[in-house]
Amino acid sequence: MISIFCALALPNATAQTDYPLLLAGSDHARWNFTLERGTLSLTGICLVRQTDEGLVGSVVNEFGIRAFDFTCCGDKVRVMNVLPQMNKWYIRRLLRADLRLLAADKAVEPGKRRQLCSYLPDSLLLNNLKYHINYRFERIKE
Amino acid sequence: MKLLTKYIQSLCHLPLGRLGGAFLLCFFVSCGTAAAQQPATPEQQAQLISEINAAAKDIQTLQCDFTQTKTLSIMNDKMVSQGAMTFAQPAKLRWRYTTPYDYTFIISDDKVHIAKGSKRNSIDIKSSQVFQEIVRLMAGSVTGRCLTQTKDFSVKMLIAEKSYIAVLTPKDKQLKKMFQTIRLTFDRARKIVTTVEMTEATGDATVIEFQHIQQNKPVSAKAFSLD
Repeated sequence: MISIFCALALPNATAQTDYPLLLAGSDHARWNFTLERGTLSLTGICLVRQTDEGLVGSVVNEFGIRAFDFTCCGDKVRVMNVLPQMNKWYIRRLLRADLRLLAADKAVEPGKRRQLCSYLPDSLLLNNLKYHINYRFERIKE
Repeated sequence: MKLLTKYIQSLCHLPLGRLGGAFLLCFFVSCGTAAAQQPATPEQQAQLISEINAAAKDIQTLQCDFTQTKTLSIMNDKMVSQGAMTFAQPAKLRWRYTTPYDYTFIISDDKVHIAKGSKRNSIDIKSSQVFQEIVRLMAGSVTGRCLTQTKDFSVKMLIAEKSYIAVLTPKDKQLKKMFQTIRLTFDRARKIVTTVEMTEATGDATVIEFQHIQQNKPVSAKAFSLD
């Protein structure tokens, strides 16, 4: 069902647009963020801002506790200041690869392992099909 | 302050010039700042913790609004959230964010209830040691009883003009990785927490300021359910 929505919502559902995390004409955005895997669900806020080098972002939970920061220059994503409980090399590697679809400054082919959808005007859904992880973003209107 | 300013201005006209006046101003300001927060002696610290603990035992309910400001240096930005808090002894807590997001966190009857938008989730505290620790820390921070939880934190008390400040340094390895220090500011007269400041290892801080604090007013049991 989600695949059908994705195909209808995006004229070219196989490649992302530039900076999906930013609205056209804006250099910053805030999103309600949910990370889901099976029954596990983590929520928080994702803040992103455009810089001269690319994109910089931070994911914090509602209490202000930081999950991680990330930067993207070109299509190279760095993840840093990761919450100790999440600070494993394989988690950082996964986040880098997944965030690349959202933070790179040029269209990145999602490939067979990932799917990026925009199913409402202010929502994004990134699926990691291999590890069954969903990243949901719902824009916080300012 | 006006007299001090006039004095400094008068110094600026001396042969020392403006640079000398500025140096003296900095000297006076730093002395003033140092005097504003004096470390408590061991005896004073023990006395203050005892008084705060006694005041905490008198807290049956607390209600207040809060403003939370999170500094994000990598973003060169701050995230400001607002909401309301309700607390009832022994450990019932309702923490609700109203702007810019709608998020409710309730601790009640050995369960944690979370609501964000239309999504709801309930977790049994007894099944998770992590949540038991979170509940203990949150209830302890709101009332100030965490000052006596010496296995979790080392405590240093500071005395300011209108407040007492407890600087808590985590002892637990995992908590140390997350927080450098947690500062609780207590109103000197009421001995209740007015500000919580959590400084991360990166130097970024989350500051929660409580406003319109009401103590021991009746609280409905419905406040601690998501219904």
